[in-house]
Amino acid sequence: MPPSPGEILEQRLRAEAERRGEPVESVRDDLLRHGLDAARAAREARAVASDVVLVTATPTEHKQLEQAAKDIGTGFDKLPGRYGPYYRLGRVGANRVVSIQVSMGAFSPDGAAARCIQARAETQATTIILIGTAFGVAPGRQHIGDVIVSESVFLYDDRRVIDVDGSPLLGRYEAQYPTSRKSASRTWHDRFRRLGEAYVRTGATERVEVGVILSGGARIESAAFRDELLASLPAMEQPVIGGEMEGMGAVSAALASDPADDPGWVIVKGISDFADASSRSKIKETRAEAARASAMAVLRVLQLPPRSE
Amino acid sequence: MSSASNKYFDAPAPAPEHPRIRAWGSYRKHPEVDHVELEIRRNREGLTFLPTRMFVTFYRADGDILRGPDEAEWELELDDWLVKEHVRAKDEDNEKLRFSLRLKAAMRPIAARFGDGYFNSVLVYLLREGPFANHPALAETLGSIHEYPAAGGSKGDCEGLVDHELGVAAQELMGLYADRTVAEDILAGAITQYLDDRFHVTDRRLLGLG
Repeated sequence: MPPSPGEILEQRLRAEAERRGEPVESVRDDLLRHGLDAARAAREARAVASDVVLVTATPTEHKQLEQAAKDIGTGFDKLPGRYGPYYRLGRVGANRVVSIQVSMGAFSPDGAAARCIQARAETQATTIILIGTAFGVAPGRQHIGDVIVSESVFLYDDRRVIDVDGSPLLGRYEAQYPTSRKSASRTWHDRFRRLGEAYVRTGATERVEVGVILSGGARIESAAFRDELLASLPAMEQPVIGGEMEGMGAVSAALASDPADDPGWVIVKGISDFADASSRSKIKETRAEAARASAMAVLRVLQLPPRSE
Repeated sequence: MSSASNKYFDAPAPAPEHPRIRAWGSYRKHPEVDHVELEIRRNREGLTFLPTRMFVTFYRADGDILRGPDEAEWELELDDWLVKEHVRAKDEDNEKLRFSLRLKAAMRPIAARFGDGYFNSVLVYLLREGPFANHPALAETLGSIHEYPAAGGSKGDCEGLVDHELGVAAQELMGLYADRTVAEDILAGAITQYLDDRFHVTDRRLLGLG
């Protein structure tokens, strides 16, 4: 009669104890503890496994996403993660979606750069979408609450600054940006472009604009700085439509991709201000509206069915 | 009224060959060239990869190098030409890497068409139920990917496209290796590497996430 599963386990346990030269009971406790740890890790990994990670930075952005998730009837359950909590929206359309909240900017240990890399690995997600608020660059043409989507991100801190004509005189320098522009996922920004077209067709008040989004470490509240930054940029075939602070996170997480591969990220943000003193003075009123517009645009696009259906 | 002559309508120009292919084609025709070998290098640097490079070497019959290694960034167009010319990678592990890159290029438009979430789900379930489900390396990688079954009317279309691309890779491998067992092992290994990249399996291990 063949040995029962229990007898087989007991034989293996004795063999392991003999190999280690330790008492059977101590080895049994050790293996049980490791087994439970592994089972817990596997359970946690399954819980946060997803296709898309949504990244917010400020508490308002996080809260507006939670509200938007409730509005479309998905969950927003807090789950433990190795490097910070996840918020599981569950299935949105054909995508399993979780959200993380990072510190503002890309540079701190829990800023966008570090957390996006960790979250991509922990969740096995193939797309990262940065959502929340951004500044616009054209106060006459753009409006608070308009949604801007990255065709590419322009990392303006990644620049070479040289003296003009070799002269070290104060103010006579220029910035060069040889590697600053990084393309976002064409698949994703195309979907948002279609959402924008649908808004226009249906006469919706929401607006979506696709173009180049500036990203850097500066919290800009100066029209002079904004305009100087815009004037320093090289000519691009796509318009610059706004700026924000977490884009480096998405780019970091995509660095492992081959150049020809789809980079698997996109920035979708609502305009909360125009990076000048006047509009920043009203930021408390405008931030929620902008964050809400961004969250709703993203959830609407995620709900779209596969293209062939 | 049509113009008397218009070169685009009268005699459309053939597509010019990739300069590398032109050069490699001429080396290949050299009477002393016995065989050609490809090596692909894709070195990991922490959680990222350095750019993928390809090295093509032209050998004499006695094993001496006649020309090369000629270095280029990996491009599907160049690799397509090498496959057409029956040029193998330097060993089976390198062939697995090569075909994982080919699969990535082949699957990209399918993922774009159906969306990431849907494509991920269909791909993983197709492989779990497919002929490579018991291949040890692939089974281990599939075991560490957490996916749920896809639903909806597009499932059959998506499965059909994925199956087609895996079939194309299988036929290309049979053009390179007469031994089907070898070709099957390479394809399973290539799929494993493609999944590892797509679902960050090694990255997870490097970050201590299991």
